[in-house]
Amino acid sequence: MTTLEFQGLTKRFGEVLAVDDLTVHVPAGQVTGFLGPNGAGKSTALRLALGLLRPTAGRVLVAGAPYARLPRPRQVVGAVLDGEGFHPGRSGHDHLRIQARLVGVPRSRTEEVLEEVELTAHAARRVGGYSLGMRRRLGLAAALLGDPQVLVLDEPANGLDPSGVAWLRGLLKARAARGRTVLVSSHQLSEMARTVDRVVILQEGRLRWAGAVERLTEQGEDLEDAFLRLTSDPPPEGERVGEKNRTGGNRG
Amino acid sequence: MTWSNLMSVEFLKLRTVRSPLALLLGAQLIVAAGVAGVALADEYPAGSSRATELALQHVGLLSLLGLVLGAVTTAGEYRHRTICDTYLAVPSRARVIAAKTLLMVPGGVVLGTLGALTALASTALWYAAQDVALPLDSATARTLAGGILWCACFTVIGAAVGAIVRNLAVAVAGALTWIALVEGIVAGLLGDGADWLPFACGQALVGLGPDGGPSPGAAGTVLAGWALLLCALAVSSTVGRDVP
Repeated sequence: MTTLEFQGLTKRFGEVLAVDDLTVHVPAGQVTGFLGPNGAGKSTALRLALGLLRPTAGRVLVAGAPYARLPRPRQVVGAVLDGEGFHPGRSGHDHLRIQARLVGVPRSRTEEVLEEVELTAHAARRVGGYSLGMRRRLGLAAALLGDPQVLVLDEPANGLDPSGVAWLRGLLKARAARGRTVLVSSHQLSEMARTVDRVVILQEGRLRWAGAVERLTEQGEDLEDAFLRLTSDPPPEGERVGEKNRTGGNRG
Repeated sequence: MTWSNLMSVEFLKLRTVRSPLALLLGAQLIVAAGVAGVALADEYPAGSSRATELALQHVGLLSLLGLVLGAVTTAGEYRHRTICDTYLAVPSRARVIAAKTLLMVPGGVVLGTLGALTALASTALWYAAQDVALPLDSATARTLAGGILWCACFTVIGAAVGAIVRNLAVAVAGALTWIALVEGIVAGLLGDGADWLPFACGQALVGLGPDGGPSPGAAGTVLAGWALLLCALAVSSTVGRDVP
């Protein structure tokens, strides 16, 4: 089982503390939602996990090692970070051909993932002519090329139509059911409530809550109410809410 | 990922967009137009060594397009944010930048060689219209070889500058501003040392340098040194930086 371990992760941009001593475990076999208001540090934490940003302190381990030390990293972790990352003049198919070589999988795999994201009919078109939803699907296709153990997705549902959102939900749940690790950030709380098994909530770079959704909502709140309660006020000074165990429970 | 795989991926990136091909085609038009300009000026008779030299020196102009091609290869990835996928697949950024700049050596050679062939063909057409044969002597070969080397070095330099600056517009504008303005100002401060600045070395390679300036061999060596130095700066500046 391949898991993600955030260990005391801290990132400072000048005077701004974007991520503050984040320690959290993301288990395999479940969909974990990464939630927080704008500027909470979600995207920064994900980029730190994948080695695109250098931490001020702490580290993130993927399958027990920093991402950069994985032998074939894209076959371990598939990521969609900002929904962009395409040359507008390149066809979707050519984009995936390049990605397939980078990931280290045969070219035939591009056809499989195009089928999986239902983009085969548009693969020959230039990405500049794609809708936002089509670009999201292309990004997901690239992330799935290596059939990775871990999926890290930053706002993957943005731009997807309702059927696309339902399709994405099914994809994420199916991967988790196969024992894969799925970490997905989103602002769409109602959709997250239908998709995720666990949540990690950040505010102002600090962990406010981590654990199973049922534990968070056991007092009768729905996910949105619980989220708003946790993030409506600045985090208490000195508070560090980490997981008490690695299988689900946590304080609310 | 092996070096050959990494290089082939970088080549595939160039092959699957139109801008490199557009640059190559535009380069041929520039050279042909330059040769036509020499012919129309009618300052030197067709077939004279000076006319041949002036016509073929236009290959060196393509070094400016080489700068752009190089910058597109590196800074273009930041512009379109494809650099994240590249670094996710190859976390060793030094290898990525090294592969990109290394690929620009054959890239610049192809740019310069095609330009040289166009210059030769254009000049041959002009001379044929005057019933004069194109002299294919050592001076012709030296000018063309110098132009090709100039293109190769400047294409590498463009890639290095693109990796350092990471903003395509700033990289291209900055490189061209250096050539058009800054190098002249720096040259005024350096005196004789100005002959060893990058653009001056390129000019010396095709015989456009001042009398008593560096030989083509020395100028080529120093220009290659500039390219290597900027590549080293590109690698060192990329390794430690965040990718936003």
